[in-house]
Amino acid sequence: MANQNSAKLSFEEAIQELEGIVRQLEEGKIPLEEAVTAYERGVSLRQHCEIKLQEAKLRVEKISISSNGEPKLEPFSPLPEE
Amino acid sequence: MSFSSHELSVSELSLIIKGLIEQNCGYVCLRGEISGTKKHSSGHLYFRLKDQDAVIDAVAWRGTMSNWALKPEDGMEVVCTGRVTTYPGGSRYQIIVDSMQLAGQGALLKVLEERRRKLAAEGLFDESRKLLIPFLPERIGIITSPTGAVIRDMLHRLNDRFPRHVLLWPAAVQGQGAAEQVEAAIKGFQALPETIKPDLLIIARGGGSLEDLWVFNEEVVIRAIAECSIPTISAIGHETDTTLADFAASKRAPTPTAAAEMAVPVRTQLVLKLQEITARYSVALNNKLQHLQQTLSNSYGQLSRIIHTLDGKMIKLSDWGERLSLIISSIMSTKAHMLSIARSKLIHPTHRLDILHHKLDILNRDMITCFAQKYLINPTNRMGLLSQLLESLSYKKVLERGFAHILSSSQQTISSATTCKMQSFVTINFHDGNCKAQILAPKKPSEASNKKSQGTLFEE
Repeated sequence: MANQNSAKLSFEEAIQELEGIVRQLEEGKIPLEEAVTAYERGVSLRQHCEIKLQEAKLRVEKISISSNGEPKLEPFSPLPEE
Repeated sequence: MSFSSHELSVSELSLIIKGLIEQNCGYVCLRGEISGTKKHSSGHLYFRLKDQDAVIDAVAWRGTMSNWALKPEDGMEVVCTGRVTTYPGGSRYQIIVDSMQLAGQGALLKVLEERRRKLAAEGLFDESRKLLIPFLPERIGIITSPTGAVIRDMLHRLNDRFPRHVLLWPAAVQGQGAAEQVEAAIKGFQALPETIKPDLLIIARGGGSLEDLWVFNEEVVIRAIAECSIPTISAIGHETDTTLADFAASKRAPTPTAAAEMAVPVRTQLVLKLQEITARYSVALNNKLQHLQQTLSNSYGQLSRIIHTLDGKMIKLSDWGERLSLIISSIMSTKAHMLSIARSKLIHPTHRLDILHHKLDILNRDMITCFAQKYLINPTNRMGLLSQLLESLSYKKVLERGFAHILSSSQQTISSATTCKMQSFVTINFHDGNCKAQILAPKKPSEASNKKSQGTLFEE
């Protein structure tokens, strides 16, 4: 688990795993070595979550179908009436 | 109709009109809004059906109405079937209504209900088909009209909660071809390359009448939604509007803005939650470390006590070890010494026999020498000396010098005056013979002396 790449996790998976780690740590029953590994995992998950939280930028694109039938993206003014 | 100069009576004209009307539109299906209902005492219902520009009188006979489920009320939009007829007596025409249903909604709802049953029977609305809405989608695809308040409100709400990458697939949401556009958009989103493919779709439309929302009851749209591999949220009209798209979608949102709320969590809350979790795990690990540190220092204390004790034991051990080695070496040297002594003392038996033989020889020679010396070489001298000595020791020689030997009657030698006084008669031996004597008891035995008693003796 500790080696699983956290970059592929969704925010929800990451935060759930993080909560699990915190509960484990709070129970204090796991051996120190595992606790340290869990902590490191927790740090990486936290960073992952933080990145996910920082990736919060509204970007709106409109899809239009080009002449050859392929969809293409073009910028869309999201809030035109402001 | 061509002009005729033939004069008609009013009745004739009325009949012609009646005939024309009844021939051309005898039995019709008519849609309109009910107004001006008047229930006659006979039980017949008189009312009007109207639309924006026209109005027609209508009547429903008591007998026909009794079979209706619907109770006509003013304002109801209805679809009626009936015969159009005229009333020549009042220059009026009217429709005699045979059946009445709620128009639009009523008719559509009936269609809708049938369609819902059919698609439900196919399993398109099964809960098991419904995909899970992601907690935090990476990219949200929205299918709606690019103009108007709906997309604006949704983007606003997304921006407030958790801004995301949004792909808008413009589609007409009403009118001819709208259903096909929505269907194409749903399929088009699924066909996008993975890098830009959304992980959540919102199909949205603002409020409107049932007819306005009808696109979202069209079978092609329902099927496209039901078969969509991306989780979908339907957000059609207002809270009270329900379309079949709502049944087919993974989740139904009452309004487009509500769909935006369902689509993303509130970022600031997540930030707080993450901070709280982070704090918790730091605290938890610190607690753990402190606990372990405490345990460690306790163990260290115990260990150092043990080491201290061990040190003592070690010192004792090395001391004892040293002493032991000293003792052993001392014992060893002693034993070695003893051994060497013993070895030096150890004489071979034959040698010892030789020595003993030698000793025996010496003793034998000494004995012979001595014997010869003492007993053979000076035998005469020795004999002479011995007989002289014997002679001098004889008591008779003593008697010759004037001493006497006194015996009791029992022939015991009397050597003291005390013994003598206890006798009555004694024998006195002289060197030349003996004589008998009687003892006189002296007055004072302590003063009695041999001289005196002898003196006395001599006086007798």
